[in-house]
Amino acid sequence: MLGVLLSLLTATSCSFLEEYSQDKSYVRSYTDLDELLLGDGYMPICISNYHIGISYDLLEAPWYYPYIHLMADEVSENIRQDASSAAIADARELYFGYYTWQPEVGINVLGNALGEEDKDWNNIYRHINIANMVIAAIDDQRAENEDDEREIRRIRGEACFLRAAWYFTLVNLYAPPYAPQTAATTPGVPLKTTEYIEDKLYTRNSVAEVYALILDDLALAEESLSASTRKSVYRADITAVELLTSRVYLYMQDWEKSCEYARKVIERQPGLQNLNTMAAGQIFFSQDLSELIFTMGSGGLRSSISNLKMDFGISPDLYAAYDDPNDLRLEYYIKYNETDQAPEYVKEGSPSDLNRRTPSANFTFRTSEAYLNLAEAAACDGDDVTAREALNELRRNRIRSGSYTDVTLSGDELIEYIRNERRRELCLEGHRWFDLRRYMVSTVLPYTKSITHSYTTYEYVYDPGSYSYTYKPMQTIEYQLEENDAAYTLPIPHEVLEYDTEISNNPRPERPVINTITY
Amino acid sequence: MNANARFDGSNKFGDQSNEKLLPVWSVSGNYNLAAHDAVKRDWIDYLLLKVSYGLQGNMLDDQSPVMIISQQPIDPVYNELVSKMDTYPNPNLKWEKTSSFNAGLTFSLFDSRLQTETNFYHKKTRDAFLSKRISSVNGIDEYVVNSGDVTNYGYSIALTAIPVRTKDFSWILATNFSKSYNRMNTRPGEEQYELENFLNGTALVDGQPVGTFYSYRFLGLNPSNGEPLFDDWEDRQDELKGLTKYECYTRVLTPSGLREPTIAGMVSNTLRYRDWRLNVNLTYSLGSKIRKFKLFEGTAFIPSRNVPAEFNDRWRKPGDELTTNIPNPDCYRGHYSSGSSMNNEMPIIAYNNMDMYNYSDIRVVSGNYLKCSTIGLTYEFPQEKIARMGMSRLAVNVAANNLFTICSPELRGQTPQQSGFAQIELTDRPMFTLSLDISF
Repeated sequence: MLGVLLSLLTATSCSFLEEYSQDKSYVRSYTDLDELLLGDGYMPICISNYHIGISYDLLEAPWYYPYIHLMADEVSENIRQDASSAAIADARELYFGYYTWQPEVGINVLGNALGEEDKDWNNIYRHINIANMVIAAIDDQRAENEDDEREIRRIRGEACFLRAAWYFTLVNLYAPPYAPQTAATTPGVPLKTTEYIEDKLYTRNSVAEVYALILDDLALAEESLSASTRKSVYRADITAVELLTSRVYLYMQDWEKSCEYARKVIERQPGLQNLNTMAAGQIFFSQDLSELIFTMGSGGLRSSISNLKMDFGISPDLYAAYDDPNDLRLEYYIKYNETDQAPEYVKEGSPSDLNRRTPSANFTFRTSEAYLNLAEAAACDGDDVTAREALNELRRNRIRSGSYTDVTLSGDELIEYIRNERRRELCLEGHRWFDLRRYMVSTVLPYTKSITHSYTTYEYVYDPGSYSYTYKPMQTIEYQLEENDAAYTLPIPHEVLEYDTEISNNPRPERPVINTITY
Repeated sequence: MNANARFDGSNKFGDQSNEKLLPVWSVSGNYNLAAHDAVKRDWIDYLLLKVSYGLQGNMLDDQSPVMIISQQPIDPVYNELVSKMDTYPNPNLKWEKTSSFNAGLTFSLFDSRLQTETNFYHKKTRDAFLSKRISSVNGIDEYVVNSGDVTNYGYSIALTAIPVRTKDFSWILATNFSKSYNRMNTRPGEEQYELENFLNGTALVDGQPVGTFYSYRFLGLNPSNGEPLFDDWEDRQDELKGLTKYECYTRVLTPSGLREPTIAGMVSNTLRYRDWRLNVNLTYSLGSKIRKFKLFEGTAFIPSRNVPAEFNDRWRKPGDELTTNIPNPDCYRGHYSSGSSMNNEMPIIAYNNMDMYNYSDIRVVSGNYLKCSTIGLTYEFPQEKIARMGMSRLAVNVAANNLFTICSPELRGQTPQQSGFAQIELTDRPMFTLSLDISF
């Protein structure tokens, strides 16, 4: 009797325990995994009415590692004595520890409080784990026809691309750059590829191991995405995979492979936006850019790189890099503002035009990079002809038609020219900091740079000239990042070190004030 | 005698189907001993023994063996449907099983002039749920595990006595006190305890009672600048390098006492003389230590914010350290063990000296108290007088709540029921009420 009762209970328990929810769901098909990947695997876009810039981080806008733009030589603070208005939110203060390369990047300006440091680390590992789960679950999904099979392969490909992209970002933020000789012994970041929770203390895998995983994932992504077409610029397709592969090989100084993959990209999507044929009022860095391949994450950097006081502006150093007056990027990327007497970042449109959505400031892939990767890898490999060809193809689309002449340099001069061209072309798209890191360890023409950043304190005083209260600079202090400085690598977030005691930190030197200016 | 049993099913657990169903059962019995001739006496009204034993299972609503996604509306930028991760899969979670034994003795003697209710319980939870910290490399930093066994046991005694009961005067005295103990045998072991577990008394330490919390050893104020000094082993930090958190914290920190009282309860008195009635209720608590509220909130001392009045007695000039323990508020200093040069060679003992001061032994005081929670005096107008006015009841009541608390003077206004472990709330203020009861 009891047995009958028991078996009855067990038999009915399946339907009896069936549950239903309006928005919560188990994964029932590959479409669920596809939605999950888009919603939680890709870098999110700030969904607000307008782009509010990195200085509004306090409002929880999902800006990912915005300090990437602030640590390199692309921006400097605006020190203005006049009575013009100040920025509403102060990104200099928010990212002080990053911007001035402090040993602890979460430290505040007064040096008496340590803020959150693990936001990006946690976000990126969350995305990696979503990718891990999608990769593990996608093979179990049922396919009824060829379309289903292709979709399943596409989703696996996108998940592999994302895991590669996230580990590539992590290892370049939190580990020293890839140097072929030492990568096997340099600590990288912890690798996790399992889809389940592992309750253990992680250790850092070597930089070489991290790059090996990235290449494996990219190879699988390439294979999986070969039969699919681009769904939208918000999803990685085969072209995006090839461009990232080319970039990864460039960082690894595998010139041959980097060239090979850059060529694949150019073959698929060769067109460049010619600055000579821009329509009236056309903005270069927009969703409609013809050479756009893939974008993930928020754009809208322009509102934090304004000419306002207590804000960042284009550094004089970057502006000086556009040394050819016929370079049309002086019209469409960085333009001199006569009123403010300072260069202005206009690639995304006017800094005060907040309402337009633009491609990501951290993770945008476009064809120009493929030409630059090809040029640089070929030049480093000694193939100056290919390098010049790729470089000049880009320049023909950037220099005023009537004044264009081919670059005829060779050897080290050519490499140097290509690196500067890369800086001019990809400014403020999240490349420069990583590029400076890899030049440092390049076996061909190593290069390192010392950068000076300043921080000015203001007081709010009455200005008799304009009959109003205004911010006046009181004191400027300067910090310097040395050549080959250990601070070219971020420290591991202090919250992570606290729990994961097996993870070692990256040593960073004390950062003394090198100069003080009092007004 | 009563027994019942049933099966509980849950699809919240692992894919092994035998884990999905759990038998739940209980047995209980009641026995009136006074019904026995051998026990039966005239002065015993009743003598009742109650015993029960049962087994039950628990599960958590927010856990699932497979991943659960939450479906979102169409994303305006992507123009596609998106989903977010809602629940990470937790396939290894099992039922938390609790077996409980209860025994109670209730009796009434001498025509209800002495009544007692005594209860004892012993509850053992196997595979108890525990939210466990995990490495953030997992994408989340906490998940639920079946951690081990928890044993709770305790007793409560309620006693009511009527020492005097005459026509004009009566005195009813009631008291109760209860005590509970718990013991945990967790599998994750001692390594799981973080600094905060030691500071708030949730770490279990060999040889110390459960609930013992730890503090930094305060040495005094620095005579030259008024910053607080602690015995934090800075001069012999090499001895701490390579130690586990448990070893390090039990060495550097000092046990401060128990966060829960060993005995606590209430005594109530009701005295009636003709139409007057007087109520006096007292509560007491003995055996706990409490931390005073934090002196420093955050690390920056911002003069425009409210600060504790204790800062009136702060260190201002050399020599003050002899008479005060309140530091100079401008004293922030990072701690040596959290510096970046330490490179994880030893557990982080503290982040800065302000935190250390907040959690130092000088901020720990006794939590013993005796509180007068209510005194009330009621006058009932005699029935025959008010009946003429068409009323059935008329009573006047004067009462005072929270009239006084006898506790450690060092608390300086902090309520002894709240410790520094919790949020600051206002202290109990005395409250006086005058009420008139009229019924028609």
